[in-house]
Amino acid sequence: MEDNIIIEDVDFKQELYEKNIAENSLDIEYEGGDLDADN
Amino acid sequence: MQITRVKCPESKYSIKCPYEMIPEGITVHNTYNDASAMAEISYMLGNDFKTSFHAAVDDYRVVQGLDLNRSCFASGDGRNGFGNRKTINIEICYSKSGGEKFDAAEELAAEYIAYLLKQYGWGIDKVGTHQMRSGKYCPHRTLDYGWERFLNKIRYYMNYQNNPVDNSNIEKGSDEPVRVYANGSTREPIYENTRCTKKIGSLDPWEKADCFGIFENRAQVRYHVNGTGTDENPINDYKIGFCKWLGGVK
Repeated sequence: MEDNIIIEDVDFKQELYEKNIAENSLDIEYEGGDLDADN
Repeated sequence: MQITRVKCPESKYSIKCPYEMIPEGITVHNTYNDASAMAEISYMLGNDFKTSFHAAVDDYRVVQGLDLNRSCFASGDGRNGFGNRKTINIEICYSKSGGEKFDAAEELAAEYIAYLLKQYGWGIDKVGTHQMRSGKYCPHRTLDYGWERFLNKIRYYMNYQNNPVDNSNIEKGSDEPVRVYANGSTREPIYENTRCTKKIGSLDPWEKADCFGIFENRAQVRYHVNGTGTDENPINDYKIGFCKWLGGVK
């Protein structure tokens, strides 16, 4: 299976973030982690 | 398996991945969203919350947003908690609504986790849940469906990776015994699907092809594509598809 692993590297782009904010409700429902994770 | 690594800007290290770490395990999450892995990662890297995770997995790829040798803020157990400080945190996408996309994402996540376990030389005991780190009911849908069931998926991929199929003796493909499909006196359309809605080619009258059997009342055939290359330098090219007429199956 390792032969079938394709790895690509890309830079983070602010435009991508803004696009996803516009297209998804992530800012409302987001629970990828805890906001108080640093407590 | 496709892994897309998005580089976290160093200016965000302090809020996303403040410490170097030598990982000691894996923590599994569900996003409680219906967004893709790239959407999750780009949102995570773009906002200014102390909320982060190493990778998100959707129904067709893994998107990694943090180096695996840096800590993150995902497990809810504080800056120095085991989950945040010592484990690779992985989000499984599309968990809010579930369905086929979530099922596929979970499957790919199992494959990715098995790959990581092998990379680090770990056993299945290194895989935990967000709930184990800080008590939150997460990964919610994976837990609903059964944690041991998910671990078994990982075990399956671990076994697969440890016992790969030996293809070393196959140089130009293998040719197992198959039946013959002999076309009749009229041209026979070939379709890519058993509902026969997408035509991909046809068999000439009296043309013979390999036949792998009958599926959904259609004959599956492998046939030579005419006209590839030149008369002086012909190129062997084959297609596989389905046809309606079953009288050709021998």
